[in-house]
Amino acid sequence: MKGIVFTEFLELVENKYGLELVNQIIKDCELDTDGVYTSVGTYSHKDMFKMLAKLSELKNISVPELLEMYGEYFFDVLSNGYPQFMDQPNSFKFLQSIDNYIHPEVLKLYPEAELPSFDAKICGKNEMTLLYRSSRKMSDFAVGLIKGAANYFNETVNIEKVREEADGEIVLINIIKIE
Amino acid sequence: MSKDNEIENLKKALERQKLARKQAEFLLEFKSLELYESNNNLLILNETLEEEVKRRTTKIEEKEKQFKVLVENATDIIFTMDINGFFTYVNPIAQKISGYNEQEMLLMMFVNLVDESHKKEVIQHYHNQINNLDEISNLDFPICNKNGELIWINQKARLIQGDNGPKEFVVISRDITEIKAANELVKKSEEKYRGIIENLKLGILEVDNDDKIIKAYPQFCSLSGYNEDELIGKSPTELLLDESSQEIMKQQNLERIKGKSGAYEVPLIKKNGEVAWVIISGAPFNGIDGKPKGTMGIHLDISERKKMEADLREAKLKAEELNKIKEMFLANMSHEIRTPMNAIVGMSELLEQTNLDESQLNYLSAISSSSKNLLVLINDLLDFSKIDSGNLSLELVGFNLQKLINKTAETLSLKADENGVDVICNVDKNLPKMLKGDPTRLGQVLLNLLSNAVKFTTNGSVVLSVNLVEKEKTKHMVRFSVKDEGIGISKKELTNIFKDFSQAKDSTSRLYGGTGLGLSISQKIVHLMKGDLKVKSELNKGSEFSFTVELEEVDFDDFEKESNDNYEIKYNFNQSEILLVEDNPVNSLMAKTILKKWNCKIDLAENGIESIEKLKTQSYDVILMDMTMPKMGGIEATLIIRNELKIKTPIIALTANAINGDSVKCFEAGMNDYLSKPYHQIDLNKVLNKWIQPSEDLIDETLINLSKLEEMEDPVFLEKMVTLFVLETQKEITLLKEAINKSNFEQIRLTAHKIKPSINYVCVPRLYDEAKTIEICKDNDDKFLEKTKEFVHVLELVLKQLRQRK
Repeated sequence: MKGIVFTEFLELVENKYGLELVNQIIKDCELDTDGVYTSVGTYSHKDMFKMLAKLSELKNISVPELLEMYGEYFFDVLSNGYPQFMDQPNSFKFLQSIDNYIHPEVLKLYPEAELPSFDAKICGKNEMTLLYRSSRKMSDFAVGLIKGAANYFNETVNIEKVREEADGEIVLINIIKIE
Repeated sequence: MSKDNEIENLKKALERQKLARKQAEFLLEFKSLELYESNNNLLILNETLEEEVKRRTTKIEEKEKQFKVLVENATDIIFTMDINGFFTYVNPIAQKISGYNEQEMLLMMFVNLVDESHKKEVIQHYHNQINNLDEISNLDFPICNKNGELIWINQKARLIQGDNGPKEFVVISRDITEIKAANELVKKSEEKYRGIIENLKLGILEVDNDDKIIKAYPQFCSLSGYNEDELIGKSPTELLLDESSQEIMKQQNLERIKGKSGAYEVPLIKKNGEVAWVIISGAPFNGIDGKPKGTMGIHLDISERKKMEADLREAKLKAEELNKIKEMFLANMSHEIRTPMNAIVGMSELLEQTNLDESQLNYLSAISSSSKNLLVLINDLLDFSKIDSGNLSLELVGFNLQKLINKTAETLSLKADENGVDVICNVDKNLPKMLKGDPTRLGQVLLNLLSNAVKFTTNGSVVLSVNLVEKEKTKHMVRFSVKDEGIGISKKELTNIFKDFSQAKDSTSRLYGGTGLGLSISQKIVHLMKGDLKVKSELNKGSEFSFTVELEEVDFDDFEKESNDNYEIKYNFNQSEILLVEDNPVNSLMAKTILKKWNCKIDLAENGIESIEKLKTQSYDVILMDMTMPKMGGIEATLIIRNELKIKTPIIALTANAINGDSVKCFEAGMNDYLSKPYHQIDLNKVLNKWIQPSEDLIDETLINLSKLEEMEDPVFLEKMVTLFVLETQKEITLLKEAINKSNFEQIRLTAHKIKPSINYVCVPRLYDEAKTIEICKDNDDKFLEKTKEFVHVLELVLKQLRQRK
C-alpha cells in the first residue's frame, strides 16, 4: 500500500484528534515501521487495518465508517495533488477513467503497486454501476472516494453497495445522480 | 504534565518526520540513480541505433551496386517498362540485341520491337496479364531489331504492383533463335525419318521397362493383326510369342536394360493365330532424364525368307542324301570290283613265277594286261567320281622329275614299239632334280597324254618336253608338252575333247578303245594344280597337248618323303610274325603265298573277333587287317585292340574302298597305314618294310649275350641251346601273357622263376635281375603287371635278336 495512504491517514487523525492520539495508536499497534511513513514509500496494508481498528476502538466509530470518512477526505488530497487526472466533465466519466487511464498511469510510476479494479458501467444518464474488486476488501474506502468525487464535481449522488461477494473482495456499487 | 506530554508527543512526531524524510530521501536517491542509468542506457542505445542504420544503409547501397553490375552484365535481356509499355530501364544486352541505344530505347514502346506477325498476340498477352493481375508470364515471339533481323526471344515478365494497382513490368528475355532453329531442324529430321520408317514396312514397337507396349506404329499393327488400342499396355512377350521364344526374349530384354542392342529371329503369333517370322532388332532408348526408358523393337517380316530357307534346307538335305547314296554306291562298286580284281592281279603275278610253257605265258600276259587295262578303267571312273564330288585332293611330296618322266615313258615303251613310235623325252637342264608336288597325279596326266599320243600315232615320234618357263626363288613355272605326229583332231572336235565321256569321233572308241574320260580327268587334275591343259592340233599332222604348273623346289627335309622310285623288294623279313585278318580265302591264299616267299610267319584270323582272341595270347610284328568282314570288321577290331587290349602292334588296313574317307576312318581308329586293294606285291613289300622294324630305342640295345655259351666252344651245343631257349621262351611268353590278362600273380612268379636260369645263359644280366624282381612280386600289385608286360616285350625282342643274329 502506498505511503501516502498512511501519511494522509495519520495527518487526518492528528488534525482531528491531536498528536497524542496519533502517538497512542502508533504505540498500541506495535507497527513494524514504528509509525514512520513517507508518501513515496510502500508499506503493508495490515498496518493500516491495525491503526483503523485501534482508532475505531478508541473513538468508538466503526471501521467502515472510518474508511468512508477517510475516502472522502483522501479524494481531496488526490485531486489537489494530481490535477492532471481531474480533467473530466463529471464524476461518472471520472470514475470510468480510473481503470482506463489513471491506474495504468500509476502503474507506470509504481510498477509494484497493487491496485483495485473499478469496472465502471454507465446505465443511462444518471445511473452507473461500479464493480469493485480487491483482495484488500476496502470497498468502504471506495465509497468514500466516490463521495469525494461527487463533491469535487458538485454533484449529489446516492451511493449504494448492491451486493458483496467473497467476503468483500467483490462488491457491486450502484450510483444514482440526484439532480 | 500536559505540557511535558505535549512536548513528548511533538518530539515523537518530529522523530517520525525525520525518519520519514530520510526514508523519502533514500528513495529519491535510489530513483535518481535509476533515472540516471536509464538515461545512460538510452544514450548508448541511441548511438548503437545510429551506427546500425548507417551500416545497413551502406550494405543496401553495396547490394544495389552488385545488382546493377549483375543486371548490366547479364547475358539475358533485362528491362523494365511502365504499364503503358514504355521502356524505363534497359540493360546493355537489350541494347545490343535490339540494335537501339539506351536513349533511343527509353523513348520507345516495347511493342515497337515486336515483329508485325506477332504484335497482336503479344499486346493481347500483356493486356491479359495486367487485367488478371498475373504475377508472372512467359511468352515466345519474334522481335525485329534495328537492322531488320528477326530474333526469336523467350520473355518472362513480372508484373509489379504499386499502391494504386499494377505499376510496371520487370522483364527478362532470352535470344532463342538458335534453339528455335535447332528444334525446327529436329522436327524436320524426325518427320523425315518417320516418313522413311513408315515407308520401310518395318513394324516398330516401343516398350517400357516393364515390358508394356507404349506405342505401336501402323506397320506393326498390320503385321500383327492387332490395332494399337489392343496392343498398348500389353506385354508383347506374353501376347505375341510362344513359350520357347519368350525365354529368348527375356534374355534379350535383360541385355537391353544394360543398354545393349541386339537382333534375333522369332516366330510371332498374329491375332488370327498364324505365325509370322520376324527379325527383331531391339535397342534401348532413354528418357529425358537420360535413364533407359524402354526399348524400341523394329520388326521385319521374314516369313517369306524363312519359308524359302526351309525349302532350301530340305532341298539341300535331299541333295546331300542323294550324293551320299551315290558315294556309297561307288564305294560298294569299287569294293565289289576290286576284290576279284585283286585276286586276278595277284594270282597272275604268282602264276608268272611258276614254270609255264610259252603259250601259257602268252595267255597269262593277256590276262595280266587285260586286268591292268580294266584296273585303269576302274581307276578312271573312280577318279572321275572323286573329282566330281570334290573328294580328290593332291599330295605335296618331293619327287625326282627325271625319274617320273622316265618311268612314264617306260610304261608305254611296249605299246610305242608296237606302233613304231619313238618316244623322246626332253627335260630342261635348268630344272632342279627334286620338285615338290603330287607325282602320282602328275604321272597320271603325263601317262594319259603320252598313251593318247602313242595310241593315235603310227610310225612317227612322240616328244615329251619339260621346260622351265619362269623361276622365282624356289617356285618354278614348269611347262609340260606332249607332241605327236598322229591323226590329229579337227577344229570342230577340238572344242569337245575335254568334255566328260567325249572322244573325238564315235568311231574312235571302236578303233582305239578307252572310256573317253582320260582327257577330262587330266584337265581336271591340271586345274587342281592351278594349270590349264591346252591343245593345238591339225588334222592328219599331229597334236600338241601342254600345260604349265607351278612346282616348288624341294628343300632338304622333303628328300625323306621321296616316293621310292628305286625301291628294292626285300625278300627276307627274318621270320617276322604277321597276323593276316581276312575273310576272303582267295585273298588270304594270295597274301600267304607272297608273305611266305618273303620269309614271314603268317597267322590267319578270319574276322575281327578271331584276331582279338589271337592277340590276347600271341604277339605279332604287324597286323594286316581287312576292312569289311563278317562278325566284326577291321575298324571295330582295331578300336578294341587299341583301347581295350592296349596293344600297339602296327595295323595296316587292307581296303577295297578306294573312295576317299576310308583312310581317315582307319587312322582315326588307330591304324597305322593302309593298302588299297588290289595291291601290287611291291606296295605290300614297302608297307611291311616300313612297319616291321624293331622300335628305334631298342635297336641299339643288345639284349642277348651268348658269351657264356660261346666259352664252351661247342657251336652245335650253342645252337641247340638257343633253339631250345627260343622254343621254351615262346611258351613262357604265352603263359605270362595269360597270367597278366587274368592277374594271376602266382603264375607270373612261377613262370619268372622257371625262365630265370636260361636267361642267365642267353641274355644280358639286366634281364636276369628283372626276372628275379618279378619272381618275388606281391599279389595284386598292378605295377608288377606293367613291369611284367614290359618284361614280356623285352623277351620278344630277345627272340627277334636271336633270330636275326649273324
